[in-house]
Amino acid sequence: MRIETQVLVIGGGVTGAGILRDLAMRGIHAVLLERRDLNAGASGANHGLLHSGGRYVVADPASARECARENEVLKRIASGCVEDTGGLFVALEEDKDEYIVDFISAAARTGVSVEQADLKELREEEPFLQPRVKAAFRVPDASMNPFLTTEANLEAARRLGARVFFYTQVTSMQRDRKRIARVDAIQAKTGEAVEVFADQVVSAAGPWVDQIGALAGADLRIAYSKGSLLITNSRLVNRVINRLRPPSDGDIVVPGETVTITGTNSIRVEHLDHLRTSASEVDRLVEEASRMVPALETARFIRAYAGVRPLVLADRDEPDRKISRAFTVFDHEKDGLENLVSIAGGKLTTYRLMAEKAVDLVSRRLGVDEPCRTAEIPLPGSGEGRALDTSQRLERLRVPPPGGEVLCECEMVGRQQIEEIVAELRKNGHPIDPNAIRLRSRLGMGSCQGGFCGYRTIGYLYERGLVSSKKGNEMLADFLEKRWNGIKPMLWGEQLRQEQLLEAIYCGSLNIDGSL
Amino acid sequence: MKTDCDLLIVGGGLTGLVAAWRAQREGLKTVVVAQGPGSLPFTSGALDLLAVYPTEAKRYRESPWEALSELIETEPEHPYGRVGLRGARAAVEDFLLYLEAGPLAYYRRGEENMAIVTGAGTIKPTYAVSVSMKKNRLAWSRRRPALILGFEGLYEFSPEQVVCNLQDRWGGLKAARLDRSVLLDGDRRLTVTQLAFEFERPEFRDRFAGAVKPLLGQSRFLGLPAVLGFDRVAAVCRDLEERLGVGVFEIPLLTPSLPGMRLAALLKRDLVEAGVDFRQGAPVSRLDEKGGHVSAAYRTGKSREERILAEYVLVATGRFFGGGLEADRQGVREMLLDLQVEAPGDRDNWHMASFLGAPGHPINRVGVKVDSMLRPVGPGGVPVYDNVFVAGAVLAGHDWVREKSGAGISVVTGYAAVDSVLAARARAGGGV
Amino acid sequence: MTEAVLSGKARQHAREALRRLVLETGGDRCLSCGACVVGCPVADWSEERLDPRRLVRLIQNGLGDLIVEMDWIWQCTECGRCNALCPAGVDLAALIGRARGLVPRDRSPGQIQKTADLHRTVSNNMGIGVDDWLETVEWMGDELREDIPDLEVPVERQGAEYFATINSKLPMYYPADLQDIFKIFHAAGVDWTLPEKWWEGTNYAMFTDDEATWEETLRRQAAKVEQLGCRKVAYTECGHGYYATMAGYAKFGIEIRFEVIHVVALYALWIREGRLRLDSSRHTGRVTLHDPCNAVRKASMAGFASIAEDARFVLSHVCEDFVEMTPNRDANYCCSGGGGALIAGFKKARTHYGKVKVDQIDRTGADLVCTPCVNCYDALDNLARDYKRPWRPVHLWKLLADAIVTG
Ligand SMILES: Cc1cc2nc3c(=O)[nH]c(=O)nc-3n(C[C@H](O)[C@H](O)[C@H](O)COP(=O)(O)OP(=O)(O)OC[C@H]3O[C@@H](n4cnc5c(N)ncnc54)[C@H](O)[C@@H]3O)c2cc1C
Ligand SMILES: Cc1cc2nc3c(=O)[nH]c(=O)nc-3n(C[C@H](O)[C@H](O)[C@H](O)COP(=O)(O)OP(=O)(O)OC[C@H]3O[C@@H](n4cnc5c(N)ncnc54)[C@H](O)[C@@H]3O)c2cc1C
Repeated sequence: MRIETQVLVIGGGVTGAGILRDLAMRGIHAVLLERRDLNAGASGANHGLLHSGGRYVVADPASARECARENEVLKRIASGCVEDTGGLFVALEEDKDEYIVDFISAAARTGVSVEQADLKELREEEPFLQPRVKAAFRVPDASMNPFLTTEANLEAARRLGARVFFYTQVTSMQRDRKRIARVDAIQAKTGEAVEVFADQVVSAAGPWVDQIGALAGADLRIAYSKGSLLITNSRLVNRVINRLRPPSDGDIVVPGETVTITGTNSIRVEHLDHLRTSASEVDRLVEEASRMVPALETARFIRAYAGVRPLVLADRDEPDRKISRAFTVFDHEKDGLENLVSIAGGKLTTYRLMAEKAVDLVSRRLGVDEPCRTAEIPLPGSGEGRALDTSQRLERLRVPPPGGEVLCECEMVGRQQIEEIVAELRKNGHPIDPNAIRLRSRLGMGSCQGGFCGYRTIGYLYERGLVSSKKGNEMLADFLEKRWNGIKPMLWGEQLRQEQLLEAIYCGSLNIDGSL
Repeated sequence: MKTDCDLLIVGGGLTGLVAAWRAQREGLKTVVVAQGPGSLPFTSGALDLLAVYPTEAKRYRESPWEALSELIETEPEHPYGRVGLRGARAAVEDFLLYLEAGPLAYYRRGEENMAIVTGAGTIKPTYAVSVSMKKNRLAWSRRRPALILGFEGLYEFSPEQVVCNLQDRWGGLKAARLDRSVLLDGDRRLTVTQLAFEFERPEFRDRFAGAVKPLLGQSRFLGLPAVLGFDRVAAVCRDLEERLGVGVFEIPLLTPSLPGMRLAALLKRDLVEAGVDFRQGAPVSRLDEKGGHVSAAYRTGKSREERILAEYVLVATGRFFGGGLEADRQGVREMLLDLQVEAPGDRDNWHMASFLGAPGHPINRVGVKVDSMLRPVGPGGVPVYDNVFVAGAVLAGHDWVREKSGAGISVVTGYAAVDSVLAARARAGGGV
Repeated sequence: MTEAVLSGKARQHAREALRRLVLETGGDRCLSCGACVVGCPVADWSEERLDPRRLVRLIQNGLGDLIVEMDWIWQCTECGRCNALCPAGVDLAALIGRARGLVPRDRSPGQIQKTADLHRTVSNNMGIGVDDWLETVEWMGDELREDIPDLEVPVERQGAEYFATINSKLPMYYPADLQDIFKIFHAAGVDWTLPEKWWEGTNYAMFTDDEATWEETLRRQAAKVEQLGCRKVAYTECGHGYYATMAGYAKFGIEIRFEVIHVVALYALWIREGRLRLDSSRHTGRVTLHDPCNAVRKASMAGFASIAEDARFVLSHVCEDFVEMTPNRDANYCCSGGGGALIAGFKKARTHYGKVKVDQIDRTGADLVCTPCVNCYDALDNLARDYKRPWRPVHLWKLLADAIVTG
């Protein structure tokens, strides 16, 4: 396949998606290639916290300012992806008073809104919060669904003529002196080769930016910092809870729709694939987080996942937590490359701003002087009166309509929602499998981790003729194996029973591990 | 309230039921305390004996007995190894004769394993199946033209999945679905439960047969998801066969699984009618023990504590799913008597990197270690109680999921444990 | 329900109360396996078709208020089949119970709460005064004495061994049934008494989760037993009354110095002891048995005596053609009137899912459906009429009394 376009965007995380939309809104023709499905990198493996900036006020004021501004913007333009829960910073008895003082003054300096909370009120609002809290502050943190966010950005771009290719991995680049003349990619599902001819190339490949840079002969100095997150099967807090101390392990608890997400930590890794979370990491995160929310000690955890932050290095020996979480736009002119821009670092919270900066540079190079308007115009599904409302979704399925059975009982995903997702995937020419459906709903994200609903989804795909021969069963096994990586570290207590039931069904009753 | 009994069986899964059945027949006054339903309602109702051995090689074995002899040779600590071939044969033979004569008319293929079609379109090896799956095996082994029928809205079963996965090896296989409106009035949901209720009604079967007849074509068999009633499956199958003129069979589904529930119901009914005192719900929460001897068990539920005095105790509490074992972040525990169990190192080592791969997860082999009398042992292999025995899934040293030996281990060790009780009793001069 | 059941504050309270309870009762252990759905006779049949799994999930997500406002919680018969099949030990019945308790008392449907209120204020469900009660007892005793001249019906007898409870529907609607009961106690030759108050053998407060009333009525009855110095309570043929008493004593920590025995266990005991001489040939028709959920499955699950085997033992002495219905005992289906459903209204739904019961009975070919529970009796009677079936329910006391050989 041969593609010609003004701008090629590499990477289908939230940054790439934001860039694609921004380009499209400035009337620039663009194409995005993603080696897997949406949010395959850090964008699909983060805390889902729309930062107020509070976390960074003391150590990284620049980031704090950015967060504070973008927090307001996103609550407006991405309202359909955000549940405006509000957040808290809580100091426990063992936490240092000096930090509290620093926190308050730094917040004032950086424009992060902070308001002292009444501890008695708090106990009612957050029944599972540690009762021995010595001080607490309200901040405008919120819970954000990164999958909806990326998809909404992509959809906005598609509506303006941009194109998105999933399972299309960039493998090499042909350089013609100061320019990338051609980008080669391969489609994983079909093996088809893709050649892209673009005036400008934007690499939004997250921690892979150094690899993409290397393909073009550009040297990017990136360190990889892995962070792990744990999920429980129920929502134990109503607001984002942050520990009021210098950023450390296990000090944030986020309510994510139907679940609670606990994390995170920071561990240097050498490789980006096959990330795993070890038992000792899990133990430490549970212990730390349960100091703030004691119920986490006995809560039912269902999954662990890990993402990698690309840390832009000035000095390789700097401790990771000290490295700025602000982002960097590399314009590569110094590498002698005129048509490559790389962008990395930053946050989900600042994706839009990152996209704006990257597209400003590209526009300049292309001689386009349309201004950025992404902060004004809402995303599809967002805007006035639209919010991410889990209750509404669940309420609708309380009594499922005839023909609209619930396929995923844990997360209550109905057949109708799946029909819509499948129609959308078909329209956009994207591969259809249980994982693609999972990313666009919450199917398979609950207690059974896809064990029951994955099976039903395959049955549905067979029924609709969307898979044939043995393909569907292969997809099922593949889906179960993919989920397994995040299930394995969490197998004790109830989740081990769940695993034993599923293994018994698949291997014992159905013999899927060795069908004759 | 207190109860005196010869044998208290803790656990109402297949193991507990089998042991109670045998104990009562041997004249032991038996009480079963079962906290929950155990695994049986979730199984396919097909009884596996041993079909894959060695598991590392995922080697399928046509002859379970041949595989069993090898296993006993090489793995003396496996529950089968503990019981031995003779004991295993005698138990399986006796238990199957009983099931074959009963209302579920179990069926086996001589001494060999058989293969049946599952709802996932996979082929599962097993040793014995209930009457409703007999023709499942026949249809598949002869590859006769067959219609696999599903129901619109029954998301537990996709006939297309079965057909797509098997059609390259089974010509004349086709899929169809019945619309709910053909069968039911109003907008009622089609679920396994709903269909099972309906299939027990002659009026429904009449309507069903009318709707299916035109779809059959050349088919000689009709395969349906396992929803043919709760406890009259033989009659329902027969009636459908008469109405349709083809062989009718059931295909096991995910969960919950009616064929397993039927077997559980049948066993319970027969036990209770034979005089076993079966109590489900409140668990055994503690035991009186002194000097390696257990004298009484206590059951606590929503009422006052209930004491049960017992001469012998059989622990048949299952694994993690049944509740016999529990894991926390630190390790694995046996829940009733804190019997010795060893986890395979720290949690990172409990499971393999692949969910479905060979040879199976190390944690699956964790369990209670026993001597050849099935008495739990402590360090050094010495029995820790003189009147406690252990049977079933809770035992160490097996991985029934990968061996395909689930029901077999329950039956074989359930029988053997009762043998041990009888022997101990005879030694103590009790006699029956 | 048309207008909102819960006000703002009550709604918030309902959400948090249920969310807490779901954790305490093991709701987060749910494995999504669906066994409860297979067990439940109303999940698919009622109009709201709520799946127990979804109930747990909604509560976990802080939407318990929606559950509280559903008719479904009242159509549920609290039969406990879901609990019995749950491999994770989730106490679904407790959740339903609590959800009912969160409905403002004046909004609970039908007659359940009114019944409980009467029980508390007047000492029995039907609001029968002491004089009326004594008069009815005397009248029935007098009538019966025409057949049994030496019959005695002791009331308020100090130090009697047995304190008998009576379902208030008897003096109210079926006084003649009292005669059967008198006849049995008399024939058994035991030392027994009826109290003048607190003889009620039901407890509807359990079904609205009105814990205060539940506890108070139990304490008042216990005090009465102790005042009379009785050592045993012969609990009448009422499943939920028996259950509410046994479970309630433990739940509220009520210390008692007497034993509560279901009267069916006593019938069996008296037969074994040779106190009752019976002629099983008096009933020529075919009899089947409907096991009351509360006195069988739920009793056994809660850890106290089930009457399943005793009922069968008694039946084997009072009729000749006994046939089991399937499923039975712990696996039996509800009569369609359990959990207070019988007096909660929702007749249509109840009749609808009662079809399961009707089919079960039809298959036995029985003429009489014996059930040792007044509530089951009425529900089965309704089903027989609504489905125009020839079979009729019958109390065990009736079969037993008729089979007693006197003289
Ligand atoms: C543990 C953790 C927790 C976090 N929590 C938060 C939080 O709570 N709030 C917040 O605001 N931020 C958070 N962040 C940061 C946030 O997740 C990231 O800043 C953001 O997701 C980065 O998005 P991205 O699109 O730049 O990169 P990514 O999401 O990593 O996207 C890069 C994409 O490029 C693709 N790609 C790579 N190579 C190729 C190739 N050769 N061809 C085609 N495609 C390729 C990858 O598949 C991937 O999809 C967190 C990060 C981590 C790691
Ligand atoms: C989903 C699934 C599918 C299967 N499919 C098949 C199949 O197709 N073929 C096959 O042959 N095998 C199959 N099996 C395996 C096999 O049936 C089981 O391994 C076997 O039945 C185990 O029986 P058990 O009685 O030892 O344990 P369980 O069935 O787990 O029973 C344990 C019992 O002990 C009770 N208990 C635990 N603690 C206490 C306590 N303290 N007090 C009172 N009671 C207690 C539990 O409530 C339960 O009743 C399957 C198993 C599962 C789970």
